[in-house]
Amino acid sequence: MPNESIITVANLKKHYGDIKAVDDLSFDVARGQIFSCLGPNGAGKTTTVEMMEGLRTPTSGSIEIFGVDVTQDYASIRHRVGVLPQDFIPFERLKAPEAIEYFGGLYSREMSTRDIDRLLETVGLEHRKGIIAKKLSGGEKKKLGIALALVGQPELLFLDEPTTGLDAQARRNLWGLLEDLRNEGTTILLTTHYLDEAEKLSDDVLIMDEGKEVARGSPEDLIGRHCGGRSILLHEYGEDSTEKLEAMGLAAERVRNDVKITVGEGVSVRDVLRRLDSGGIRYKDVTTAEPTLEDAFISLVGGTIVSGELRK
Amino acid sequence: MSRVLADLKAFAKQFMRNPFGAAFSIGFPLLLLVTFGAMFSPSDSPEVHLLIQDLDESSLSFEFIEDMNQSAMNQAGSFTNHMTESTYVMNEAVIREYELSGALVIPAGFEEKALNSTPVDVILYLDYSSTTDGIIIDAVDAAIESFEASLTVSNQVVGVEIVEIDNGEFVFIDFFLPGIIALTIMLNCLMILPSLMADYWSHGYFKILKTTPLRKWEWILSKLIWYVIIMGLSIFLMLVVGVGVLGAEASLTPIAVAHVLAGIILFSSIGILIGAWAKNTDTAAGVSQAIGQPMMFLSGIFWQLDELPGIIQTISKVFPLTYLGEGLRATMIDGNDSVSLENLAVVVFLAVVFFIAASRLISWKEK
Repeated sequence: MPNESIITVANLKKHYGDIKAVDDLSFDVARGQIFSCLGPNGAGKTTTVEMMEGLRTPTSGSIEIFGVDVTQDYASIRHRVGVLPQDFIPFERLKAPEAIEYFGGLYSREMSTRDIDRLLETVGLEHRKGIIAKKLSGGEKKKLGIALALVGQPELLFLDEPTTGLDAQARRNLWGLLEDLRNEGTTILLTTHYLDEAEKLSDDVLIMDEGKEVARGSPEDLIGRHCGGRSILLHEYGEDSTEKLEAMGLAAERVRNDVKITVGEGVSVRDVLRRLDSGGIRYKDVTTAEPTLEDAFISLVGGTIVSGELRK
Repeated sequence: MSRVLADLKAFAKQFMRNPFGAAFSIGFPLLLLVTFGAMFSPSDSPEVHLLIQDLDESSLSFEFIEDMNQSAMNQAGSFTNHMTESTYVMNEAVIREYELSGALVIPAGFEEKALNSTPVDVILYLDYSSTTDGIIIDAVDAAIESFEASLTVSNQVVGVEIVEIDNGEFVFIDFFLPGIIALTIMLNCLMILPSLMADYWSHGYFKILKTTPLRKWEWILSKLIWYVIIMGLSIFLMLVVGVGVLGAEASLTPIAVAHVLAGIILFSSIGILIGAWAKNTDTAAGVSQAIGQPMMFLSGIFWQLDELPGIIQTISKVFPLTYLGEGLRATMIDGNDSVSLENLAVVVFLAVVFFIAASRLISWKEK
């Protein structure tokens, strides 16, 4: 049943005294989609997700998953949900196959050695079977957490910062796995502060800041609505400030040693370059770029991006 | 039930891979047992209380008693003896009541038979399991030898008929073994579980488990089953060492098993309550010790309560360990099941109350 909402959040609030961690948030998640919750640290993403996972009690508002009010009866849907918490630490004295077998028992799923091996292979831990979890690296522990979240063959998967700590290859492997799961019909709710990850994987994105919704839509939609078009990057721009460019009527901003100029609608890149040359603007090199979710995010929330990660 | 078994299996693996857990559950109680058993084993000069009952009241029976006293003085230890009325019927109950090591009865007609060179037996009531049995036998043999020498008869006239009794006395290891079993249950359940739960909090294990189909009561049940298994193993080893090596006179009765099960539920539930409240290891350890240590020393585990000051005896009644230790001692050593059942009733009542409280109050949610 495409577009059927399996998560409905309405007027959700979580206050800690005067601190409004989540403030009147409403959204829904359609079945079979990857839904990303995006925002800087402290935006309220994890608090929101943990309320959906039955780990925290909302101050007010409602959360329905599979039509069940999770604040009242999360227990009845646990077997349909897989969870990777943000700060996941595996049971340290269990080896990866033992942990998977343990969770198989919790989900009443008989795990054969072949099932366990296949799951370990899926997350790339097949060579670390004999090691107790305490001795696994940070990335390997995260992979084990993902494997445990998958043991129950969930219809809904909550992944809170799943690629933090993973190397580039492992991140790409995980992206492939998540796309496969979506194609098989699993709904995935992902929280991340990696914009490329959200843009690559998401069908639907909720951008949050200070506990509130800032924007919502598909990556393409958000980029279209909140970015001004293509951009030109002037490498090693010679001036200290962008005043000269702004005086020429160009929307410019400094990005470290470079300057980014957003090309407005109906204006060609060639026209802009011609104006720069005629204005005597000095730079070493120039590249052009399509707008990304990063641009949309900065436009909406502000802040900076460091190594693909949101900072505010 | 499959979830309980899955949790139990995983927990058992983690527990046994933690060298501290296994050592504390099994090694530490054995170490305590052997150390205290050796420290307080009977000395070489025990006090011997032997009652002598003279039913003949003749000059030869007096003479025999004189020889007996002389012989006793030559033995290690001190004898006391009493002349009793001839109508007094000697039996095991009398020996227990007066806390005697044994009794020697000189039968009526002793003098007449001895003078006629007719064999006559003195009757010795003796507990072979007592540490003083050898001393008493040696003293009686020496007395008979001395007495017969004075009779100048050619054949042996006086013999000994031994009536085996249980004088109800116990040595320290008898007293200590049930106490150390009770203490082991308390230490493992009340002092280890809170730290373990704090570890679960700090590592986020409860958070993970809460998102799975495992229910809280299933987690608690798997811990109780585990403690029954590990305590069962620990108690078995303590009995092997206590009875087999240190010579304790203890038996594992069905009431003792009921005490062990109720004790595990009781102290595990208290431990879970502490663990539910204290969410870091330091606080959990501090609270456990603040509760456990007074209980350990004031519940009659190491010393008999009736030897302690009255105020301590009153305080001890507050501690559940007192009832567990006394109940186990009554059934395992004294064979006094009615006293044991009274203590068991208290332990079971407290176990039910604390188990319900633990099941209701434990929360896996972040505060």
